[in-house]
Amino acid sequence: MSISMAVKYLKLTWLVQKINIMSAMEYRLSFLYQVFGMIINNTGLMFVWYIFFKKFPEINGWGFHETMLLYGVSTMSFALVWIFLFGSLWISSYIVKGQLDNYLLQPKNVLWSISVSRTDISAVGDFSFGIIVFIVSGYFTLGNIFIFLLVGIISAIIFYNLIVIVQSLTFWFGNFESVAEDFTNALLGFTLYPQTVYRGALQIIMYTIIPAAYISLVPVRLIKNFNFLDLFLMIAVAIITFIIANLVFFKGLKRYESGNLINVKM
Amino acid sequence: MDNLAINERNFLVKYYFRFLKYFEILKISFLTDTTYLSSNFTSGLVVFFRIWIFTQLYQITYATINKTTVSGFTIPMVIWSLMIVQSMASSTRPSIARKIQDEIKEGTIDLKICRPYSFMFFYYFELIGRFISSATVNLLVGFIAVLILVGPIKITIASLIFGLILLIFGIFLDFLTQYIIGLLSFWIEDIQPIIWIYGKGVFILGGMIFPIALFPESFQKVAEFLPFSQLFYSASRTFVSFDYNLFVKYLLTQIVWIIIFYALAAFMYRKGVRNVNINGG
Repeated sequence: MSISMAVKYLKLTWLVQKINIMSAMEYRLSFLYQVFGMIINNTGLMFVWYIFFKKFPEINGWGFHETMLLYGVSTMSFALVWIFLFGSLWISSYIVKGQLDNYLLQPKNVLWSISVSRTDISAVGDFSFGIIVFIVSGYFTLGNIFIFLLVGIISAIIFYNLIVIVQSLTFWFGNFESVAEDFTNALLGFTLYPQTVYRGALQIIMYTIIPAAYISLVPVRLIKNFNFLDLFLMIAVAIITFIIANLVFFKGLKRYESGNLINVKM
Repeated sequence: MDNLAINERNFLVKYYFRFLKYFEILKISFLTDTTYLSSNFTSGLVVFFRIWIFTQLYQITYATINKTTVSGFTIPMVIWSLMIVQSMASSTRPSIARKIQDEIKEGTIDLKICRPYSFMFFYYFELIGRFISSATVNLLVGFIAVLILVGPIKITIASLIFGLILLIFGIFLDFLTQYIIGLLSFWIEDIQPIIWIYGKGVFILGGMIFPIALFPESFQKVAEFLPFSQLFYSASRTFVSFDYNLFVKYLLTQIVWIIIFYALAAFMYRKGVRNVNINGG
């Protein structure tokens, strides 16, 4: 894919999701309800760690401020996927129900069309929460703003790629919806614990089978102590997982059998 | 047979048949849930990973402060307590509230309210059916995980029996809360944020990642009187370390909350059903 093509798709993604968000904002009360509900929800998550670190001191240099930073990065990268590429979480469901046909007929890349087809509006709350928590985490400096945004975007790309890979396995394994959902929840859940907790075999798993480390541990490490090695590691993982995601999806698409469901998409 | 004996028998037969329909609901829900065993096992696997993370978290934490016991809790006791709460809490999902919301929004509620069963008990027994199936798998996986990761703890017959009593009340309390949130759909368009906030309440004050016994004292006192801690934490606390006075305190707290929520649920249902307008179609 050439750079101009990528830019074109990025612009198109922005336009599509802008319309999605604006149409959701038409129902103003529901929109505000969801956004603020999510902010309160995430604040609750943070509160439990506040109590934890009130009772216990820092764990190997990891305290409440580091946890705030972790939540900032994780919720922001999560929100970027849920706002802009939420349709990727429906791949498995579309395959099982034979509903991919709608997207096969569209003039753009199929994977892109599916991914931008939905927006989870409550993720706007996650996004706002991520920014707020980063600001109050104690790591908010001019240099860190740039790193925060950069690693947030890269980890969102990795997150998205992993979702596509797991969801696309439905092409081979049939009824895989709930497993794919469990994997996504596990991936998200495992990014939200103090990272010094992971040792031994668990640490290896977090870098390989459930690669939550690239969405939380490495980004936090980069904001705390910027180094090019970690940055290149994240970029390399983003590129590799992107290639694998495309391979798995498009190889799988050849196995897709449509259902006999007739419907009209307006 | 005298009249009294006949009346007594008729009474029992009547209640037997009344219960039978709810038992059938429970059975169908149980069988539906066991059909997707692979799904239950993957959620069990998630429970396994969570317990693994908690074990490492508390091992490092206890090592940092150089203690083997905090507020009477050793690491194995903490992990067993978290395992029980996590297994139970994930067995009550998906939320009843969301199901009720869908019924109200889509108008399919009319099929339930005109049938000869209680709307509330339909959902209760439906929940119990899938709870039995999911909790069996989750507890089995959790049990293996804690045995491997931290080893056994001493659980007495008394702690098992009293813990089970608190668990039965706890499940009913969780059901009532979710049922009330679901009924709010009669008046509120989208109850999702309330479901999130309730979930977080359980997460923070329900002992899901941090047993309330380890809370700073001020937080602990408040948390123990709120319903969140009375869903599954009170039972798990009793399982891992039985204390008769604490049991009585938990049981009374549960009963008070159940009475309040039951009355509220009945009131909301009566008011809410009047709001239902069913269009043909």
